[in-house]
Amino acid sequence: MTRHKFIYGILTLALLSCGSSDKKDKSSDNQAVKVETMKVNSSTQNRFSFSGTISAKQMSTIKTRHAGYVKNILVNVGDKVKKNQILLNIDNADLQTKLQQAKAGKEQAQKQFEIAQKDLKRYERLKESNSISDKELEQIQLQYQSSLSAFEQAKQSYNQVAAMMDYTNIKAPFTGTISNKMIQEGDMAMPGMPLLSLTSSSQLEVKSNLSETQITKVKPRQKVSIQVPSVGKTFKGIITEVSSSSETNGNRYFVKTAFKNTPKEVLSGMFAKLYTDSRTQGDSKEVLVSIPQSVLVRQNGLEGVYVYGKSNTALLRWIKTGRQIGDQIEVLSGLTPQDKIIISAESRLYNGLNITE
Amino acid sequence: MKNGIAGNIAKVFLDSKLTILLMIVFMVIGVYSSFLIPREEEPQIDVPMADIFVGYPGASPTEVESRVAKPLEKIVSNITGVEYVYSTSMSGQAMLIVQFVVGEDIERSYVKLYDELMKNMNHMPEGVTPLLVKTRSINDVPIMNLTLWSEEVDDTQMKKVALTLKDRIEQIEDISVVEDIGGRREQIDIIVNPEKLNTFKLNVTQIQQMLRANNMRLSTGEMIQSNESISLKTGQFFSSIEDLKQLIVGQMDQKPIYLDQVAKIEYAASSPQNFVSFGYGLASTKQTEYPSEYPAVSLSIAKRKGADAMQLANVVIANIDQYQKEFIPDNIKVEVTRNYGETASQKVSELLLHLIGAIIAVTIIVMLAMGWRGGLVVFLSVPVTFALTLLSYYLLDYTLNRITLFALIFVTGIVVDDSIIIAENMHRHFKMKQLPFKKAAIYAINEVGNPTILATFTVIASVLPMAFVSGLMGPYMSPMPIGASIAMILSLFVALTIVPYLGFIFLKKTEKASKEEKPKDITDSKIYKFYKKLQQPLLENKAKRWGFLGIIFLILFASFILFFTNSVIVKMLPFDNKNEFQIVIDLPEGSTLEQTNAVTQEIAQYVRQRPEVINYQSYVGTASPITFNGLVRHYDLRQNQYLADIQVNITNKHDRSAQSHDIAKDFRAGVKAIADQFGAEIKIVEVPPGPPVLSTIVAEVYGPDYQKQIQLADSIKTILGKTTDVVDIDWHVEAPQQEYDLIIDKEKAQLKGIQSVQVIQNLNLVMQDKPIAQLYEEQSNLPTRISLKLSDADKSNISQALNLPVISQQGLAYPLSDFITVDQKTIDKSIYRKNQRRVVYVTAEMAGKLESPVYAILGMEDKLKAIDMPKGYKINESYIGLPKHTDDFTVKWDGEWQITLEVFRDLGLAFLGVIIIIYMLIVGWFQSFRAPIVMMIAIPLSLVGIILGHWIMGAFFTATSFIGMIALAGIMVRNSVLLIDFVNLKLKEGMPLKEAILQAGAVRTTPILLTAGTVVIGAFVILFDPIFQGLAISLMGGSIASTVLTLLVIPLIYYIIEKKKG
Repeated sequence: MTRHKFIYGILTLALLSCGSSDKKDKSSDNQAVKVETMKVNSSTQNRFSFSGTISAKQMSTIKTRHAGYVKNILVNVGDKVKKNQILLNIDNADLQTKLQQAKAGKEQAQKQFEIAQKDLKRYERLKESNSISDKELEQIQLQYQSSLSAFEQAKQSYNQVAAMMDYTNIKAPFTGTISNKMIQEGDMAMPGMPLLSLTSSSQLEVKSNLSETQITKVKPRQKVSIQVPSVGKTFKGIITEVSSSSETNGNRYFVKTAFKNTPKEVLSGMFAKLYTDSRTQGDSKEVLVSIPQSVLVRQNGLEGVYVYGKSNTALLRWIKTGRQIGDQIEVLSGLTPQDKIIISAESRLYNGLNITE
Repeated sequence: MKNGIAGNIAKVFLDSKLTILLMIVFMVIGVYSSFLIPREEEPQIDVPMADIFVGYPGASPTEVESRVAKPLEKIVSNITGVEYVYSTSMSGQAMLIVQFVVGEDIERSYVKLYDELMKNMNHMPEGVTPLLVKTRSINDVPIMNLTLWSEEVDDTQMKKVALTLKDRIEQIEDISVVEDIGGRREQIDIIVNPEKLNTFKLNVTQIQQMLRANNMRLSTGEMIQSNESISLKTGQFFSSIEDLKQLIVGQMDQKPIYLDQVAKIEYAASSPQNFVSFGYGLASTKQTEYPSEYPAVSLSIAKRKGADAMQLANVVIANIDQYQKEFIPDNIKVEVTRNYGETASQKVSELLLHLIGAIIAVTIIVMLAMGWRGGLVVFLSVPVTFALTLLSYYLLDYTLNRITLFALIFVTGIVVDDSIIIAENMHRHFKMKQLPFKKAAIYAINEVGNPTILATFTVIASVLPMAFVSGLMGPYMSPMPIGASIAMILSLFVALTIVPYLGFIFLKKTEKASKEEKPKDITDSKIYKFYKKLQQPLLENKAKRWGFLGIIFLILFASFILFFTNSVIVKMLPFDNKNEFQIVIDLPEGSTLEQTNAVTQEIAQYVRQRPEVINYQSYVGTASPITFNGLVRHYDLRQNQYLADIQVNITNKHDRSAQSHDIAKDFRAGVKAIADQFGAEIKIVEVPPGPPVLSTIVAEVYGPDYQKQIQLADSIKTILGKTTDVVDIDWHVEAPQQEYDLIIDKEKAQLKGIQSVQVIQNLNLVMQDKPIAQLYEEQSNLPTRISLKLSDADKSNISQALNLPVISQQGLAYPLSDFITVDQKTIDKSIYRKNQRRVVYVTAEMAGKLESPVYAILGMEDKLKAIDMPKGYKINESYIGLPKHTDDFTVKWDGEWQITLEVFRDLGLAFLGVIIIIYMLIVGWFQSFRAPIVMMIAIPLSLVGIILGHWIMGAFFTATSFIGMIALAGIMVRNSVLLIDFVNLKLKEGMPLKEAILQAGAVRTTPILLTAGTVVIGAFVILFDPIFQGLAISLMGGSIASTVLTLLVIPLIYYIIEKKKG
C-alpha cells in the first residue's frame, strides 16, 4: 500500500488547497479515582413463598359469664398483666341480695336438718324400746334424708351465688399484654360479648392458609424465612403445624409457623411472607443475584448501581430489583454474577468517570 | 466549401447583437434557478413500499403463516408492479413487506394495494385483527434530530418539554412529522398486593370494574327552566390520586374496602420501556465540562416532499433559540445530533466548488494551448452551458443532490470539448490568415462543425443507455446520463452560437496584435515534426508497425490479468466519507432491557473515549431516528428490549485525515471485543453510498424443510465466519427464548365456580402493565395514566405471580396457581418468506482488504459442496433470480451482490448498446462499414489506462469506474472521428495517404490533447471524493492512455486498411 500512499502524497502536495489538519489529541489527563469494588452476590436457589398473618401463639378474648354493668376497668390497652390479676369488675349488687337470700335459705335448711337429725335420734331410741312402729321410724328417716338434701342444695346454691360474685371480678387467664379494649365503664356486659383481648407477647407465630397446590410444598419442621415487610426484616422460622384437610376451612389448608426467636419489633396481626429454603420440589432452580441495599442509587423511580466498566470507567447500571433479603436486595435484571459493583469511591461517581481499584 | 448546418447557425449568431444579450439572460436564469432547486443529499427515489401488520391472537407461527401470511402474499403478489413480497410470521401476528418495482408511481401503487386487500378481506379467518397498512417513503427519513439532555432534570420533565417543543416545531411550514423518542411519562401506579387481595376476597378484574364504573362523565340531556335551556352534565372523572385512594372496591363483613387498603397507590414514572442517553466524545471540547452520560429525549424531524432540507434546518435552528427564551429551561440542553440540511448544503457546496474548480482548471489548460483569449472564450461559454443545464434541472423537477451535481462535474471535461474544438479551429484558421476573419471563422466552423455534431451525439449515445439501469440503482444512475446528455446538447448549442461570437471578438484581436507573423503552414510546426518523427517509422516499416501493435495488445492483455490476481478489486460502490455511523446491538432474544442497557453503556464508554467522536446517542429498547438505510432495513421496527443502537457523530470530514469507513472499521474490533463478553452481536452500520440493502452479503436459504434450512443456514454461517474479511455475521433465526405456557385446568376451575376467562383476564391485567384509565387534566399534553400492576418482586417468579387470587361465584378466593400448570417451552421461531417461499436469511458485512462481496461469494461454491446434506438432497447456488422449485435446497446470494450483479449486467448491456449505436452513427456519417471499426479500436485502448490507473491508485473498480469507461468510449471515438475525418478531407484535396495521416495527426494533436487534458483536469477535482474516485481514475487513466494510443494506433490501422484498398 506504500505505493498508493506515495502517489496520494504527491497528489496532495500538488493540491495546495488542502489545509493541514493536525488536530491535537486530547489526552485524558483526569486522574483515575480509586474505588472499592465487590463481586455481586449470587446463589442458586429454589424458592417457594406463601403468606400469612402474624398472631400471638396464646391469645384470648376476655368475656364475662355474668351479665351486668361494668363497674370499673383496671387496665388499659398495652398494659402488661400477670396471671390472675383482676382486670375489671362487673357491678354485682343483684348478686349480693341473691347471696343473702341463699345464705338465709342455707341457714333455714340447716335448722330443719338439725331438727330432723334430732327427731331421728329420738325415734331411734324409741324404736329400741319398741315404743314406735317400723313405719313411724321409716317416715322419720325419710324426713331426715330430704332435709339433708335440702340443706345440701341450699349450701350449693349459696356457693353458686358466691362463685357468681367472683365472676364479676374478671382476671387475666395468663401473663400477657392487653391488646384491645372493647368496652367502656358503665356499659352493659353480656355473656359472650368480648370485653378485652389479651395476647401473650412473648410467643408469636404465623398463621397461613394455603391452597392445595401450595400445601404440597411445605411439611412440618421445615425451615423457612419469614419476611415482615412492615418491619423490613427477615427472620428465621420453622413450620409447626400443617393441617391435613381443607374441608372445614374454606378449601384452605391451615399452616402454622413459629419464629425461632420471637423478635421484639414484630407485632401480632402483621403481614408476613414466608420463603421456604432450598431443596423443595417443584420450582425451577434459578440464580439469585443480590447486592447490598446501601449501594443502590435511586433516581426518579429508577434504581441503579455503579459498576466497574470494561473500559475502567464507572457506569451507572439501571437495574430491576425484587425482594429484600436482610440488608441485601435481590436484582431481577441488569446485573450478572460476573459484574463488579462499586461500594465506595473517593469522589462523586458519574458515568464514564475514570476509575481504578 | 458549402456551409453546413453548423456554419449556417454560426453565421446567424456571429452577426447578431442578440447573442451577447442571450448569453446574459441564460446566465441570470441559470444562477437564479440554482437557488430555486431544492437541495438535498440523497436523490429522491420512488420505491413504493408498504408494511402490512396483521394480528392473529393466540396463533402459532405456523398457523399464522398458513392462515394469514400465505393468503395475503397471494393477494399482494397478484398486483402488477409488485416486485418482492417478504413476510414474517411470528406467534400471534404477521408482517408483510410489499415492495414495488423501483420507479412505479407511488400513489397508484398504494391505491392498487389497498384496493386488492380490501377486496379480499372476506377471506381472512375469524379472529384476525384489521390490517394495518403503513406506507414508507424516503420522506419519512428525518432530516434533523434534536436531542434534549440534562444533568439535573429527570426524564419525565424532559419528556414534557420535548413534547411542547415537538408541538411547536410541527407548526413550522413544510415539517411533516416530528417524533419523540425516549423519556418516561408520569403515571399513577396501583400496585396490588396479592396477599391482601386474598384476605379481602377481591380480584383485580373487580378493581378494574370499580375503577371504570366510577370514572365517567356524560352529557345527560337538558332541562328547561324559566325560558332557559340548561344542559346537564353528570359525573366526574378521577382528577387526583386521592380520588383513587378513597375508591371503595368491595365489602367484607359489612365494612367497606378502600383501594388503598389492598394496593399501594403512588405517583411514579412509568416503568422504563427504553433508555435514551447522550454523551460527548473526546473530540468535543464540551466533554471536560460534561463528562458523564445523560438521560435524553430525541426529537426526529421529517420534512414534506419537495421541501428544501437546508432551509428548513436553518429555520428550525433559528426557532430553537426563540424556544429557549420561551420554555426550554437553562438546565435542559438541546443538541442538534443530525442535520441533513447542513450535510446536504455542504455536499452541494462542495460539489459546486468542485465544478467551479473544474471549469477554472480547464480554462487554464485551454489558455496554455491557445493563449488567454482562447481560454476566455471557453471560460465564458462553459458557465452558460451549466446555467442552462441547471435551468433544465429545475424544469425537470430534479433536486440538487449529490447525483445530479455529480453529473455536472462528470461532464465538465466533455462539454468544454465542443467549445474547444470550435475555438481551436477558429484560432488555427485565424493564424493561417488565408481568409478574412469572418470568412475564416465560418470556414473553421464548417470544417469541424459537422463532425462536432456527430461527436456530440456519439458522446450522448454513450452515456444515455445508462439511464436504463434497473433496480434500486436506477434512480441513483439515471440523473447522470440524463443530466450529461442535456448538458452535451446545450454545450453543442453554445459551441455553435456563443463560442463563434466570442471567438470572433477575442481571437481576432490576438491575430491583429501579432500581424507581423507570417502565415504558418502545418508542416513547419513543432508538433508536426515531433509527430512525424514518431509516426513515420511505423508507417514505413512493416515489422516495426506490427511490433508496435503487438506490444500494445500485450499491455492490454496484461492489464486484464490484474482483475484476476485481485490487484484491482471490483466493488459496486465504495463508502463515502460521512460524519456519522451507527452501532447496532442485538442481544439474544429474551434479554432484559436492563441487560441490553448494560452492554450498550459499555460500548458507549468505548465510543466516547475515541478521539474522533464528537457525541453519541444511545437508544436501548427503541429504534433511533431512521436513516434511509434503516428505512429499507426496517430498523424502525427494532423496538424490542433486547435491541439497541448507538448513533455516533464523528468530527467533520474536513477536520480529519481518516475516511469515515476506516474509522468505522477501526471501531469494530474494540466494540466487538466488549460485545463478545456479553454474548451480544454488533454491527457497524455506515451510510451506504448507493441504494441500501439488507446487508452486504445475504444468503437466502430455500428448501423443502424449514428445520433443515436452518441447519444449512447455520453451516453457511460457520463457513462465512471462516472466510477472511467477512464480519458481522448474523442470521434471522431467533435464539431459543423461554416461554411459559400456562395451562388452565378448566374442569377443576369450573367445579369451583371459576371460568377460564377470569383467570386469563386477571393475569393479563396485572402482567401487561397497560394503562387502564387516565387522570382528568385539561391542560396537559401528556395526561397522567393510571396503571394497575404487581410489584416487580411479585412478578419476578411465576409461582409468585400465580398467588394472585381469583374469586369464585361463591365468593371464595383461590390463588390462580390452583388451576394452572406451568409448561416451560421455547418460543416457536418466526417463519420468514420471500416471494411465497420459505427462506432463512444469513447476513454478513465485508471489511478488510477485499471489501467486495464478490470475492467472498465466488469462493463459496466449493465450500457449499462440502456441507453434509441429507441423502438425495444437494445444494444449488443461485446468483440472480429466485429458485423455481423448493424441493431441493438452494442458496441464493442477495444483498449488495444482487445489486452489483444487476448494475454491472445493465451497464454491460448499456455498453454493448453504446457500441452498436456509435457504430451505426459512424456508419451513417462515413458511409463505410470498415471505418467505424478502426475508430472504435480506441475503446479497448482506453481500458489499458483505466485498469492500470486503478491498480496504481489502489482503488476499487466500481460502478462509477464503469460509467467512466462507457463515457470514455464516446470521447475516444469522437477523437478518432475528428482525426479520420480530417484525413479524409485531406485525401479529397488530393494529398497522398501517408502525408494526409501525418498532417491529420499533427493538426488534430492539439485539440485531442486539449480535450484529453480537460477531461483529466476536470476529473482531477473529484479524484479525492471516495465515491467518484473510480470515475475520475477511469476518465484520467483512460483518456491519457487512449489519447496517446489513438494518435498513434488509429492512423496506423487506418493506414493498413486504406493501403490495401488503395
